[in-house]
Amino acid sequence: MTTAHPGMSGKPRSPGQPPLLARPVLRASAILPFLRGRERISILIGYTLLGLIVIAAVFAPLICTYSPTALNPIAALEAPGTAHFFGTDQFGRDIFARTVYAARIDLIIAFSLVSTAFMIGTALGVIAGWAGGLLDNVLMRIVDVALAFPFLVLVISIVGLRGPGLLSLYLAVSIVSWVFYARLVRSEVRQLRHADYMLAAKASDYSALRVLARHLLPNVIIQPLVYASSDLVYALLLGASVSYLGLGVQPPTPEWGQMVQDGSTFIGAQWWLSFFPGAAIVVTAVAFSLIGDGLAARAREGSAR
Amino acid sequence: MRHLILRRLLQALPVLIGITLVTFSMVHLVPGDPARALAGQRATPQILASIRHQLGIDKPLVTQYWHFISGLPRGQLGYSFLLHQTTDALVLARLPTTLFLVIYGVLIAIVLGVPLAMISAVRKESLLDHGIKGTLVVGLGLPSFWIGLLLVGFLALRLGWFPVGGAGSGFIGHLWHLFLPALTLALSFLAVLVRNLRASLIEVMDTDFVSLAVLKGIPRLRVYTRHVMRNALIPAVTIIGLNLSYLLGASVVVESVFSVDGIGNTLVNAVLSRDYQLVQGLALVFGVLVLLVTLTVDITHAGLSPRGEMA
Amino acid sequence: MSGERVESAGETEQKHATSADWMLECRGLTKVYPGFRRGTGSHPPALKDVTVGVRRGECLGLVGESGSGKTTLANCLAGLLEPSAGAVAYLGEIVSAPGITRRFPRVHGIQIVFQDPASSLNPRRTVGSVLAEIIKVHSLKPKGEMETRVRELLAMVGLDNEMARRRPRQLSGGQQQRVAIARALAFEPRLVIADEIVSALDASVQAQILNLLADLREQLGLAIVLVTHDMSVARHLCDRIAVMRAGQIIEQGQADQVLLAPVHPYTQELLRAVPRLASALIGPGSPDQARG
Repeated sequence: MTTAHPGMSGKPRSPGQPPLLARPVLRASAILPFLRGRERISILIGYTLLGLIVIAAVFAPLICTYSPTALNPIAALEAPGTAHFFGTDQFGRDIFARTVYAARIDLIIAFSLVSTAFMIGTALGVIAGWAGGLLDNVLMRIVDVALAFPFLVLVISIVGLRGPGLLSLYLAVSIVSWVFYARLVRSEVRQLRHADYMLAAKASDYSALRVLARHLLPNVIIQPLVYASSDLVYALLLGASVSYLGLGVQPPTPEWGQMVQDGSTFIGAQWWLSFFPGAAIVVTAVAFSLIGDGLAARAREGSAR
Repeated sequence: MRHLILRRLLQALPVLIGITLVTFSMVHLVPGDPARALAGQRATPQILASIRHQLGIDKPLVTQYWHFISGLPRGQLGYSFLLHQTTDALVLARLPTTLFLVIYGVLIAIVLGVPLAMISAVRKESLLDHGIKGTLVVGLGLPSFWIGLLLVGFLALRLGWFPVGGAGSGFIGHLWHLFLPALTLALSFLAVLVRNLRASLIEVMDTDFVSLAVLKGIPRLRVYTRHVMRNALIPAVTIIGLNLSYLLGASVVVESVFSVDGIGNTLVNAVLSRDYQLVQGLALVFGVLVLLVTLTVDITHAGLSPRGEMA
Repeated sequence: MSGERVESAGETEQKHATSADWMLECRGLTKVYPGFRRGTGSHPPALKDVTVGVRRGECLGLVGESGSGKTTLANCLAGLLEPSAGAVAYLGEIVSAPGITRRFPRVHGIQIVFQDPASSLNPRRTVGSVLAEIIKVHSLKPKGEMETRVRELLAMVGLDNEMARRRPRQLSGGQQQRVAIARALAFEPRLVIADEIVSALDASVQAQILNLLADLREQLGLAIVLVTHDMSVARHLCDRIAVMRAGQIIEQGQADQVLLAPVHPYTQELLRAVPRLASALIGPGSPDQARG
């Protein structure tokens, strides 16, 4: 039934032009947006900052003159200066080195906590939103119960039961944190499944799997991604707080929250023990925030048009 | 209205049951044998059996659960083996301190946050607004323990204006001792509050109602203080209500920093010393507390909204 | 709409002709949406005992106000909704009936274009990928010919090749609707259901899209079911018109007959409310000229 349309004359394609059917760039364009104005600046600053921190963490041995665990009692409690940028702690350990090395742990904690919660929560949210019925109800009740406790209280309790440590922290948070994502994704799925393009996908005779994976999922995942980017801040603070309380990362592995705790007895006179690790948290959190805000603004923009 | 309250209470019931289930199972998920943990390595089987009987863990799970929840209405929350008190006695003694701290912190947050949000909203897009927004970005990332510690170091240790820790006694004592902790709590929450409040205020200011008032010639300042301010407090309260769960969690850390004897610090110490029953009981209290507040906020909100938002 | 033409008057179709005549038809179609509305019990039927058909190459208009059930009927005819009673048949064979709709493979010969072009296109996909996916998934063309086919489809609906790289957000309403039409055409259908396809567009763009539809109909020999609330739109394209109200067809027959000499008072009311379309609508391929 296909007859050539009388007026058809395609423009000749110049060589070097991308093919018409080039795959649409999905995530990359969202993570590296090129926006106008203010958002662009804040996102760029955020990424630059984060980049610097990551580079510092990765290349820690090259940047730091001292080892983070080397004890040097002679140089104990030295104020920040040319020899030790951030001073030394009560054991003579270089605070700067410890702060930089600790970045590795804190960054890993933040990213792994968020990505685990994201994946579990999105999967469960899609199932609940799509299946509906009893499954949906049960899941939502579980979400309600989890949300009934202050998050930190739940995490601390679970960590306490298993015994302090990084693994306990990871397990405890993973058990609870997915609920935020599940709730978000579930409501997105319920909204978007009735969108016209879903009906159109059905009309185009696509299998349910294809519709779910290639039509629903890319749209449903936008909100949780935005949420995840701002959740990084929270995950970082959570890991640091739990470690501050002595329930998270155990010595001798340096971690910012734990370092603040170590320095707390010296806060009056030797403020630098606690100050710099805490400042590092703030700087990293700012980086995460800027990126998160930028993504949120971009997502808003995308749906407003 | 009564219909609404009833419905909300019914909806809260499964959540309440869930809370009890979660806290009940907490203790039973502990690896190892609690009897042996209490009795030590050299305990004879008889002693172990007797401890198990005492703890009631030799009975089937369902019976234990029943025993657990039947004790709740009577206020039996378990026993703290290390502090040698019943959990409910501890809670009764320490919950007021936590509540004082949280309310104190919320008030400070309002006092600091509402003006900031108002200035930011009123002078939208100005340099001042951007400055405030920038500060908020930094504020979101401030760890409460760090801020608390710095405040202690500077205002308490160096300048000696405030006590270093503890909760003090009596109302004035509380006000003075808990000022720094409450300030810390407020600061950790401030960024979220101001951000959301600013957005609500901008919405309010954009309404025709306000524009009309301005057009009518009512001096701008009066419009702002009377109409906008009044309408700022409602969303402020809502935001606080929604975030109460977060605030309670943050108070745990703050109490720990300042060695305040509230339920938060008690929880941390209980966890550190493996006082499982106490952990369980406190977790339950936290859960119920949040549930109560959420219910109240829900009901008040639903009750207020049909009347509209404009004063 | 005055009588410039001489029409063989009075050929009102009261009887539904034999199955062999119809390309797509439904008989006794009833649809009740599940669920209850508080207070009033179950929903009133969206479709009640509807019997209507489309012949090969014919354009049928389904006209009615919002809530008359025309979109429900369109979706049932497209096989997207399962009827509560009655059946839908394509080329003489049943393709949709209570309890069995889901088991039937989708009929590629019937395609549907939806009302809101912005929401009927996946916001995250480029135009080209939407068309390519159809061709690829259903193996409509060998791999090497895919790009050519996409270009062909775009040209058919009057769109530039450049459009393939754009996302729906970057297109105007009219362009989006053309893409939706191209998507339907990718299946090389014999019947296209157009559900209020111009209602969401500006008046000037409406005319373009309707003319496009008329052109395509002529070139490809398509049958069309045109769902609309606007009588003048139906007039422009349709051979036969069925008027719907509250889930039932209250009048159907040859377009001119329904428009010039409506029997049912409701039809008369609808006609009275219609603003006249500019004469720019009358172009080659309109019923006025096709059937002297």
